[in-house]
Amino acid sequence: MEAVRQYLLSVTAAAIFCGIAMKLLGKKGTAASIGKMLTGLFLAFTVISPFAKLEIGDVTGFTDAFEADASDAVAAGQSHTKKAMAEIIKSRSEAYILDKAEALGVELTVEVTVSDADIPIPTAVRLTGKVSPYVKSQLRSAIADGLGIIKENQIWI
Amino acid sequence: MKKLILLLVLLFSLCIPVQASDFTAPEAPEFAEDLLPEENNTFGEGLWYVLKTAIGRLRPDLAESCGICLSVIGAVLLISLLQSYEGKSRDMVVLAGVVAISCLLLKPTKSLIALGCDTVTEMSDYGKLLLPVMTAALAAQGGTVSSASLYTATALFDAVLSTAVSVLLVPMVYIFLVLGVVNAAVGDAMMKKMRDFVKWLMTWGLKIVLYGFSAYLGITGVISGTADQAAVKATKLTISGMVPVVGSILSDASETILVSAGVVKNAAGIYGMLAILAIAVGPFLKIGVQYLLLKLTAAICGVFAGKEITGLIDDFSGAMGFLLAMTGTLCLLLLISVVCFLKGMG
Repeated sequence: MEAVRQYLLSVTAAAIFCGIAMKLLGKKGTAASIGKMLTGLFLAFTVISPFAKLEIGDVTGFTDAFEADASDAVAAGQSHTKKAMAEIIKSRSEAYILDKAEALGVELTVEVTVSDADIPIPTAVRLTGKVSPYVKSQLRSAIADGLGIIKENQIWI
Repeated sequence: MKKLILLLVLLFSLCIPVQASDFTAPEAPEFAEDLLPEENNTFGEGLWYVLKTAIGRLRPDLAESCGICLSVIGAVLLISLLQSYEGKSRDMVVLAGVVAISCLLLKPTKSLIALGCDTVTEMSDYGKLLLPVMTAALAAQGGTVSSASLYTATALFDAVLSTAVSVLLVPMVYIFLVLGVVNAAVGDAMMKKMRDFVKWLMTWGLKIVLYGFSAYLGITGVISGTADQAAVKATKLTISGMVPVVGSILSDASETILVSAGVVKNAAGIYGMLAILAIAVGPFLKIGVQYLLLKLTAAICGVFAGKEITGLIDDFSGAMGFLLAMTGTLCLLLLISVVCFLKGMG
């Protein structure tokens, strides 16, 4: 961009110089004709010569920084979604288990663990409370069938 | 009673607030914050409030611009009186007139050019803060590919335009004015051609940036929007294939997140758009007033002055026009980008 600016400034300065020179030399006469030719050549040289030295640098990595920033912003959004989903799924799963326990006439403390995958699903549960073997068996089946948490991952305290 | 309490506890446990603080639009700069409404009802109401407030504060700038134009008209009247005398001194009178008018208009022009430059920088800086928020919000809605391509395009064109304004376009405005002054003083066809070329180059450059940006958004928006929709559809199919209760919970959670992310994204986007307009509107109106008044001055002076003088005044108003184009282009670029974010994947 700086090179383009310098180029424009040099062309403008050359044009102004040629214009003033032509004004001083007048419109008619040998001096005017020679002046016209010389100023024309000078201006043409000023306009064309930088292109002979033009080197186009490597522009392939120009957007790398922007793409990296975009990835960071997208990751922040995805992380927020995942966290919010995990919270909702955890609380709703706990509510489901508490609802089942209430239907069976028992009081429990429940803590569900969700996976770290893109779609968080409940993977384990920790249940605290005194229950009969029948109720425990009923709850185990309900949790396994409803939430997909296998019996090995249902920890009773 | 016990069942009622348990039900209430269960109901409260179902109400999970989604944290919106991560997707809050950045605060506008202080001078722009004053133009924003305190309560944001709709975009239309907010826009009207910003415009109303900005126009209400225009009076001192209007008075200043009128003063400058009146002094130019006074100088041109004097020049035309002196020009009525025949003889070799006519060219000297024109030259003196060009110098006088250039001196009268140069200082206000310089300050408006600096204002235009600062406005472009402020908008660019605000855009750099707003873009990550909008990108994250759209990504939270499932538009991962769309948001990334929108961010990259906006950031790239914003960087190119704001750098071009400070390094290239502002010097070109000065070059345009210098060529205009020399053309008026010397009356050379080459100066006129160079001036017209610089004018064309600036106009064409700004158009290329805006058209290029719009074309890029249009093409990538269709492609990436389709990819995101396919990804969201695939996720929904995966969820529906799970065990019934988990699938239902996941589906509800997903809908809740999408809706809340959309609401927050829209709120941030609307505030962001109003903030961008609030940053741009004051300087835009100030430069616009000077532009219109100079056009009027050139028209008035055309009645009694020569074409060199009226042409010079036209060139100064043209320079104001370029400043309007620069600030307007960046403002439009950012607004189009925010609208695309608000539109989402659809």
